[in-house]
Amino acid sequence: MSNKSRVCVLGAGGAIGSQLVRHLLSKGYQVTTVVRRLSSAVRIGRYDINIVQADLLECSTEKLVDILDDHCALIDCTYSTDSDYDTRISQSTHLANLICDAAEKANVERLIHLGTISVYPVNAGDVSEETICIPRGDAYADAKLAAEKVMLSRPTKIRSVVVLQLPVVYGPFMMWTTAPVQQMLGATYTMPDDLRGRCTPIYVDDVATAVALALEINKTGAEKILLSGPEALNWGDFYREFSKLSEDLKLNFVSRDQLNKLVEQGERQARPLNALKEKFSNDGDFRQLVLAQFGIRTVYRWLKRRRGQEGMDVIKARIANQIDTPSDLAVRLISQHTIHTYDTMPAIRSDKASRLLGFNAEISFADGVKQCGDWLRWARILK
Amino acid sequence: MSVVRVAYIGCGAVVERSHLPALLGVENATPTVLIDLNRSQLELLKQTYGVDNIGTSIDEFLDEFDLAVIATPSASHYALGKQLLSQGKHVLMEKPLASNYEQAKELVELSDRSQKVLAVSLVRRFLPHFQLFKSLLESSVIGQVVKFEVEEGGVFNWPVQSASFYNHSKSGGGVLIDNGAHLLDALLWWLGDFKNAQYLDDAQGGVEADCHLDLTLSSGAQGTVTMSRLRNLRNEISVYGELGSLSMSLASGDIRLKPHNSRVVLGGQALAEGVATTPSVLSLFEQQYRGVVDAISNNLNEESSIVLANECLPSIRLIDACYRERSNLDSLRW
Repeated sequence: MSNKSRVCVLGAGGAIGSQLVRHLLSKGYQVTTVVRRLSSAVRIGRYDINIVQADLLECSTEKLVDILDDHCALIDCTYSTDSDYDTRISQSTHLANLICDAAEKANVERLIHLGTISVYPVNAGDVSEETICIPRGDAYADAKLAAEKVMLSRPTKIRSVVVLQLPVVYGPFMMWTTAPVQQMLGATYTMPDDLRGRCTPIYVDDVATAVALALEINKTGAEKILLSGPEALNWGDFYREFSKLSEDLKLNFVSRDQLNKLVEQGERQARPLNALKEKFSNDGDFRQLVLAQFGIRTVYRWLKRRRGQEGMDVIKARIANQIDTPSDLAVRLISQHTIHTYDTMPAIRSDKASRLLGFNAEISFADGVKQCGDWLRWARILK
Repeated sequence: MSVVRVAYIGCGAVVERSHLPALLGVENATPTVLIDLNRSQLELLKQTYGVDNIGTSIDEFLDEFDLAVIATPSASHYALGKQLLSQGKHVLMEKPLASNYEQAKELVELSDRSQKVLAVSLVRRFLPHFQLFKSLLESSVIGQVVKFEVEEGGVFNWPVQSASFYNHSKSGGGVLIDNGAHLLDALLWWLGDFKNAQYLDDAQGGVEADCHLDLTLSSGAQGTVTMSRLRNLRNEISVYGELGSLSMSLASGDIRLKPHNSRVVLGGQALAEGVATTPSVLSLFEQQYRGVVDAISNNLNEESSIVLANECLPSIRLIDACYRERSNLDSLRW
């Protein structure tokens, strides 16, 4: 088989990577996938493809060159998740350099890196590829920016390098589908009625289409291209559309003053749970207290096959999470961090994707959310 | 009785997490050989368990063990089992016994001829709630079984160590053969052999992550089985009889009995006699090793925890039938 159809996807076990693999196979590509953990390969493992396990942070250039041998294109869906800001930036830079080095040495002709709209400044209003990006102190955004910088600025033998900057991506298995639904499930998710940011959600299948088009781009050199969904929404509309999927999803909009009052009230109600957290930290009757408070079924669900210290860490993290977001209350309040994100998310003003790739997102938000509904019911997240 | 020397062929996650730690608790058995292709894994286990005989092939250690625990990818179970039984070794096979029914049957016949123990690691059968569920069904408390539903699934997080896990020809399949080896074994153990099955899964040249069976049993009862590595299912079995229904959480072990025309349900946890807690996974493996040692020393009794290979043939036949006659699931769109 000609190497013109051989593509390697790094980070193929993720939600976007998995859907991308499916799309590329349907387009006739022969796909090699690289995953950090083999347990994440369940979705792509359904196909007749080559799956390679490699932690790229510990991978030599030579090993990656071997993996990329005889491939025409490389699609990079990886990113560092380290909790330390500096480590995350350096890992992200290292990964980008490793990938560029290996792609050059393996004579890969095309490199596509999945970037993010989060690299743009907060409160930027409308952004395009010309908008200047500088680090903003957020680990995720700055690490992604560091990677983009390497990809776009390195002198390279690679014929075309495309950084596709993604807005909110939703669809099956995507965080931007499960998170809003779980926020509205079991309690009324309560958010301000005047969130100022914009949201241009793109369905994951449209992202896969854009990547496939980028594999065929005629232009040489490095390009960054902003993608967006077909509509620019406000965040209230984003949540409202998902809330239509089920009567179990409850959403409420209040003024910021009302929200502040609810936050104070919520803190008072969370105090008993915080007291419990204190007790847990002293261990003592840890097991009995956990079982009494959360029940054996819930604890079992948390632990699954994890035992010993790993199991204890899971329990502690779960309890801390429950206490930080008092989910047993009838009202679930949006966090200050989320308000900030939703207030400052920019809108996209660019037709570069259309001009260079011939890409225009086709799946309307309403249709995409309906498809998410099918998946959410299948996944038993919704009844 | 002399100490049973145990060789481990394939030293992946299940051996590291369950088999070897459990064997530490068994007085009359000891690990003597570790075989795997992954050298660093072998060195790690060698240091932890003080096993000197390590290598990539069992052939050089044939004098060093009595019992072989085979925990390699399932496509190799048949060949290894056949070789070792022929060489006069006892075998404890990780599930599934073999990739297909013909191979499984051949292994059972070989163990009969060679008079060596061939057991399959189906430890769920030793769980108190699995045993009580069987006793309740046999007691006819819900009468003749008419219908049943089983669901087991969760987002997959097992620490897979080899990409061959996703290669059908090496692993034998996906969630059906992996989870189904346990679940379908238990189902047929509880309800009797099957008559026919209609099977759907989502594999597209690789291994399935989600599957569904419509099953008719020899008794005439009909039911469904759904298994998944992609979604959190109810993890429950419900059996409906002429006199009432019996359900059990596969996770917590809660059993519920509901007579027809009753608005009251009897529910609770199954516990082994004289024991206050549900046994840990390790204690099930430990129990199993004691059972295998009993069998090797001809001391098998009703209390022995062992699943001999011939007992799991119906579930292997079912899995085999499913893979032969599979259709596509509509959940393929994601």
